[in-house]
Amino acid sequence: MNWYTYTIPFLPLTGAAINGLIGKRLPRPLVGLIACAAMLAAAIFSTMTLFDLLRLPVEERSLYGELYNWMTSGELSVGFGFLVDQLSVVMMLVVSWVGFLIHVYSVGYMAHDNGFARYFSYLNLFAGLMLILVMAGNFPLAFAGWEGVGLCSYLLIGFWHHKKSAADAGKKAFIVNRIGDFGFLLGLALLFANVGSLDYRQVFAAAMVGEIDPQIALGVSLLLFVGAMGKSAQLPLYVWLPDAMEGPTPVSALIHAATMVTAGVYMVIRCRPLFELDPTALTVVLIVGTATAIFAATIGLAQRDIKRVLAYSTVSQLGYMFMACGLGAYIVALFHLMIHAFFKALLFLGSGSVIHAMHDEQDMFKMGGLKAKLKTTYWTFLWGSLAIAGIFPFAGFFSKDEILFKAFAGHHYIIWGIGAFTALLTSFYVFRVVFMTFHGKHRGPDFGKVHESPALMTVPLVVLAILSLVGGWVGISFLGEHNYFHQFLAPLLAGGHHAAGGEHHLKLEIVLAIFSVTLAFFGIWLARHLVLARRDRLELLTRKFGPAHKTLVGKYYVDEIYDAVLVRPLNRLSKIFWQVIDDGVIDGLVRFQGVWTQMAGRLLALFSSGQVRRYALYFLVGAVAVIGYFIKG
Amino acid sequence: MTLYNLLIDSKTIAPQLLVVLAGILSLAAFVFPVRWRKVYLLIANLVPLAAAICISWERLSAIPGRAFSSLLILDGLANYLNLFFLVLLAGVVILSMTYLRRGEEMAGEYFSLLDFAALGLMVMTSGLNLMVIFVGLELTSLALYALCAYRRDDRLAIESSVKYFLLGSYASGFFLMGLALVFGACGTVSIDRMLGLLVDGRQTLLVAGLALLLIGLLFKLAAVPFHLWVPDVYQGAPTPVVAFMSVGPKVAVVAILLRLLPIASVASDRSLTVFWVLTVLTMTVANLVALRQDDVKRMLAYSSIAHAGYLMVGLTAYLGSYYGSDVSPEGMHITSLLYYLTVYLFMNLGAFGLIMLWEEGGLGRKLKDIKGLAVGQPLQAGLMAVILFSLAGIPPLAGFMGKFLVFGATVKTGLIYLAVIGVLNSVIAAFYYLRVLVMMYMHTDAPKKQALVSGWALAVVIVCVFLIFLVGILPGKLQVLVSYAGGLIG
Repeated sequence: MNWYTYTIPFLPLTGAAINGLIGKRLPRPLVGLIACAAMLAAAIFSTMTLFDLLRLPVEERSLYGELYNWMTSGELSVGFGFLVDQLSVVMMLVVSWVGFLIHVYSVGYMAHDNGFARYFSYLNLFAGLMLILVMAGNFPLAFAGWEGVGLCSYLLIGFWHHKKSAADAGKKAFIVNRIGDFGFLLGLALLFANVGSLDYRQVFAAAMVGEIDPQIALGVSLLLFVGAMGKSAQLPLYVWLPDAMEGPTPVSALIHAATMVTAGVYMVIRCRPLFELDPTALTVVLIVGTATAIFAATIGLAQRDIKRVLAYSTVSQLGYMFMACGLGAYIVALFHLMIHAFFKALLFLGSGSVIHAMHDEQDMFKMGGLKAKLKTTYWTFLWGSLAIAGIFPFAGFFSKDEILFKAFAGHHYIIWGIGAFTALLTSFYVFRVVFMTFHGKHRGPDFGKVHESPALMTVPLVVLAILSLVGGWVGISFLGEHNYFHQFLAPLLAGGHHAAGGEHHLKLEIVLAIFSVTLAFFGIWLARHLVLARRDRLELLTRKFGPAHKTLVGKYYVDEIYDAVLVRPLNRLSKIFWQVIDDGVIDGLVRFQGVWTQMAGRLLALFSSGQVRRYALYFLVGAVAVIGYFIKG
Repeated sequence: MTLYNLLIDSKTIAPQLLVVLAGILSLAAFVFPVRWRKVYLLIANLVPLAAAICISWERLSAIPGRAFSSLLILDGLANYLNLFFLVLLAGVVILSMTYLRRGEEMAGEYFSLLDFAALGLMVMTSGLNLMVIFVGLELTSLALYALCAYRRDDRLAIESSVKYFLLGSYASGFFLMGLALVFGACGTVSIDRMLGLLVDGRQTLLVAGLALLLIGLLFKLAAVPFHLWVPDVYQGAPTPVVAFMSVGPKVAVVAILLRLLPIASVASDRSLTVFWVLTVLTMTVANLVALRQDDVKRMLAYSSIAHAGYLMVGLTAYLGSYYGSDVSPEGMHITSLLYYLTVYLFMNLGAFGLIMLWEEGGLGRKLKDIKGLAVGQPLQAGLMAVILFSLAGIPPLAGFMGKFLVFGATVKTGLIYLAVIGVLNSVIAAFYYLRVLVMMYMHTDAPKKQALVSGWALAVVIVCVFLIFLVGILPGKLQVLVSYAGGLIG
């Protein structure tokens, strides 16, 4: 591994240290420059690492380098080591390049915020830890990154901590993630107890030669997947992600759309040898992913807040990725992860630009007609929407289409049906946003004050828009041969599950593609019809399906159910523990300990009288006792 | 022995000879005018010490060797501890530059005595012959008696010196008596030859001799009930000297015990019980009495007794490993002990360095004197806070790793109760360490008097604090270093 690969995570960490320690005293442009330069350098080095990998023969494209021995305790020996293979390099590229664009955008977005340096310190810290997470060569190091990004997520969601809702959202994200992390940690413990190592290469090698009992592997996989469910906001632990939108919008783009939330997907892909040992594990992943995809998409239909729609969309898209993992189509999952990073970052940044222009208004019912004023934002947002809706030739088409194709080809027709229906919902809800925000008449006050965002913000939008179009072309596989993306990753990720290909499938794939594009167009048409052309029909529908609509608006009341079933009983229980057990019993015992130790101390202190004669006497008594015991009998 | 052999052997004790050189050069300080003495003494001490440190560093992983007809052994343990004492000495010399800042105090004798005290420690750790060990012990003790009274006009200093001298001679008597009895029983005072003679385990004369030897040594280690001199002596002695003697002699005694305990384990099956009881007593009594102290220096004196107790936990476990049926690797005990000692060096050097600044600046060292120090002198308060946290054993600082390793080795030897008592004692200890923090941080008004700000002492303290962090966060490096010593004993 070359020296610059080692420096990749440390560049943003250095930026974080500088901005965190002395950023307040530095001029703002310099703070922004440090943060962006650190990310750019990391991105360039990641790209250079990609070329390093490409220069190697296909079967040797896995580099491992250890900085130092991190800890040794008994059998456990963990190195601060990085594993760079095809999988991690894709993640590194996504994290660093998308991260860089979002950093640049943030310089414009946060320009007037008081916590400018603090913001960039957190953002850089996040990027550094995320890079550690994806580059780690063993579970503990990955877990350090995993926890670290969770911390940054908490800090950034609650960035405006004087706002109660932001502080609460931060706490919620943190606590819900703890549940997942606990599962993850248990998984690691179970793994270590049975395999005796936490190094990726050793564990996976053991899994591949069948040294791990499938039952154990199932337990480990499911526990790891609990962690992934927390981090990647899957059912039933998704509840924190929509609330996380309280943070600054670029944070939503970077952490809660493009990178951190995909860590769970990355982890499942990374641990595929464990998941594959028992088919149940992947089935669970498949079911959870599919259920989340449609569940979140339906909630997204009825939200008013522009960012919340996108948040539920993220949850739903992550469901797609897990669906692909569950089908054993890891390359496709990773492909969708990458494409999603492009278009969802774009959509979030676009929505940020809208919110910026509307002076922090997020309610779509108060928007409309912004197309005229926000040209760049509109066009880029539209490209992003076309990408997520899966319109040919935008990137989302290739990735989503391939997932559905894998489901169909694997004879999971129900999964395919749900996936296709979710695709229809997706194109509907995203174009509902487009039409409500940019088309029609403006419904809010102060239309005159609306202005386009500065170039610092629009340039990243344009770059991401282009990526949302061409990013998918590396994955074109219509010509019978495998595409570049596939070719690059296949040596690592294509296992026994990859059976697709050939003439028969090509036809099927085209048919399915045409079908899903038709669905997407239908969704767009429906959105246009109901939002713009015949608003009365939308209202009629809403009235007719009143309870159903209310349920959707109320997000299936999951938050309320959790509150009633878990949060409030827990609060009551902790109150008992606090007031009776802690204050009464434990504190009482502790106070008692304090009293008697002090008493004993006072008594023993009497011995130190200051008189040498006494000292010599005590000495002698002790000596006689020791010698007497030794030689007696 | 030919002259040639003597020369060859002299090469093996080059670090020791360099310390002697420093001691002799220091004596020549009086020929210089007062204002040049400081520079001269600094050079005269630190240059030979630096050379000695380099040589010892090189020898860390050297093959064990003997010198002077097996009077001295230079194994991994001795080599590592020689390096340790040299570092300690260098640290104390630099601290003393602050302590003796007034020109007329800057006399060569002080440094000369320090150097010879350190030489005695080096002799003790390398000694394979009880006679040699005794010589080293006395060399160190005599130098320290004199150093305690270095400020002759200070009543407390005189008291400290006299008490130390009286009780120290008393303890030496025990050691010497033990030596005589052991010689009577075995016909030799060479440790490795004694091991060979011990086939028949129960010889009363030998056991009594060993018991007396142990008592003499436990006095130096400040084990209860032979500890009462410690607070009184520390209170009056010059603080850099306290930093020296709270670490040096204890460490040397640990090294001697590491060599002697295997013999004790063969000679009597009661050694473990005696050690177990004394260890528990030492930890518990020291920690309980420390709770009552309102003088930070006395508190640290009891804290050093308590730490001697933690060291004895490691020693007891080491001893226990000779009794146990499933013998755990003894290297583990030695490395954990050496790790702990090293950490203890950084913590004590730092803590006493800061106390010295407080005393010398006129701030005082009573708890009430340092109220609000964090407001007045945030740097010193912060450094003290780190050191106290480390002494209390809070991760990620080095003190935690030290305790973790020692108690871990104890549990592995099967002495679980001992480890539990040790941990409970750490809980008590946390109270009096943290009380200092409360005093420094939880008052809003800065104290009226100031602590001294001196570059020499602060440099030492900052290096110590840095090392406390470094060793705590990256324990691996130090573990590698001490593993040389652990692997290469004998």
